[in-house]
Amino acid sequence: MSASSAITINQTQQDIAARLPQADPPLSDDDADAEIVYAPAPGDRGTEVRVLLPNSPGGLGQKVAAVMGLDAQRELDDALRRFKQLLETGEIARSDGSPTGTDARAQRSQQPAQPSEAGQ
Amino acid sequence: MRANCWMGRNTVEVRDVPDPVILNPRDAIVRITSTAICGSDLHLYDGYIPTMEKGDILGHEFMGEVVEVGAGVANLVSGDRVVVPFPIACGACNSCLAGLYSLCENSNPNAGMAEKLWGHASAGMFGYSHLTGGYAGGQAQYARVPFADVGPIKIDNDLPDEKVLFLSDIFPTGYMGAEMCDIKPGDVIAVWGAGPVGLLAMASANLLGAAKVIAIDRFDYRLRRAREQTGAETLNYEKVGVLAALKDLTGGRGPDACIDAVGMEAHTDLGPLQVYDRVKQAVRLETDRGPALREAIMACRNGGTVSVIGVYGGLMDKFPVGSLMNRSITLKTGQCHVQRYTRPLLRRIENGEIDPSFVISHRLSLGEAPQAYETFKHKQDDCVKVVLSG
Repeated sequence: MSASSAITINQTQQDIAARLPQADPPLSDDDADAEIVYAPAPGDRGTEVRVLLPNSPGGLGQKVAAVMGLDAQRELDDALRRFKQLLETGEIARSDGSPTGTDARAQRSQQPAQPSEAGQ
Repeated sequence: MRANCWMGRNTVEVRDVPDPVILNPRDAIVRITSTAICGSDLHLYDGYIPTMEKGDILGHEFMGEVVEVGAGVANLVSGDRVVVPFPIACGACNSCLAGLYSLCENSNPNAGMAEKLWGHASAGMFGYSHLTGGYAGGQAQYARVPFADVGPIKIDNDLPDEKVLFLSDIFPTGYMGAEMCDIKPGDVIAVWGAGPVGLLAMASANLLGAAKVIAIDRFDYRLRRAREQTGAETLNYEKVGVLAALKDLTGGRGPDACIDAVGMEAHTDLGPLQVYDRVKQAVRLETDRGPALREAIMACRNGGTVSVIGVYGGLMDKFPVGSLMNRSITLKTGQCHVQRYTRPLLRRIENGEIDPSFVISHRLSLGEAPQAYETFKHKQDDCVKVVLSG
């Protein structure tokens, strides 16, 4: 079962590619065999980044993972969002409800929107 | 610190919670001097916005003093007095660069959650459910403000809090509602809802050159405020038929533009329709009650504009799409792109063109928030707008 996702990042292809090692897996994972295709976004809006993960685990394992919020599609979507945040803003957006930032798993078990004791 | 927390439907409590801390380089911590309760907070209070968690700190209209800044914030220092816009916006994505700050592509860590409901996500927002990020709100003694180098506007003058506080939301929201009407000389603007946003939309329509403003509500004390403060003509929809009255007031044409400043908990005096919407909303077959928006569309003149600044959450039934399409109506909408308006509107306040504090009816303390929500919700004591301090 494959996963694919696309996002527009308001930077040049060269700048995006150069910072790919700072992305989260599977974007930065050489073993993931991610196929990344860049195209200029029309209207001077940066670069369209398309990622295809051809070798995601399938079958029962995939279904169990999906129930737990761990499937390859979500992981890829999250990684792309976080990468865009990092490149465009210099940081990963963190809220009280999602203190570690964009993570589909955290969206199922949100912390209350109030500061935590640990300063997380 | 003390903070007003959502504890379930129709329940808020002022509780002791941990103080916020800097989490990211572009954060600031603000000690809040004034904060307000918004009509849209009632949608949370009433339990109609999904993805609330017990303990969420409410509030998205606040101002105060900067007490700490992150390493990436160069434009603010401790001691600065700031008003904070309710949308959290990075200033660098394509949406922000286009001035569409409430659609910031980077500030909502729960964007995936919002996409399931809306197709695409909005920006992160303070104190407004986890669909918009799960950020603690400003009905508290302190708040963490992300992207503090983009949103907060410094107040260097000595204007009192209550004259500038509403730059955080309701003045820009009302102004954007009027701006979306693309007002031309001679235009008649009708505004559904004479609450704080509606009143500021009426005042803004005047600033933008409307020939006549008509206010529609059912509470005489609010319509009186509209007449006295904005010069609007008023219609009490429990006493007159709105469509006929608007035709009469406009020589049969209908208003050139209609502003919906009501949103998802609209009320109608047409009993069966109110029951239909309430039942469907209660069992979650629709999330939004539509009489104000339906009527605004039906009333608008041929080729006119309907501007929606009342908040909607999900789905509505009986949407009059035939009227919208066949009569060439333009529908414009949006959560306000507050950062686009703070500076020009601060100048209008400084110049004395408008004093948005005319909407305030109640000045209370943060500790009185639970009673204030009840008073506001039930329109008791002629309540229009509550400001909380200290």
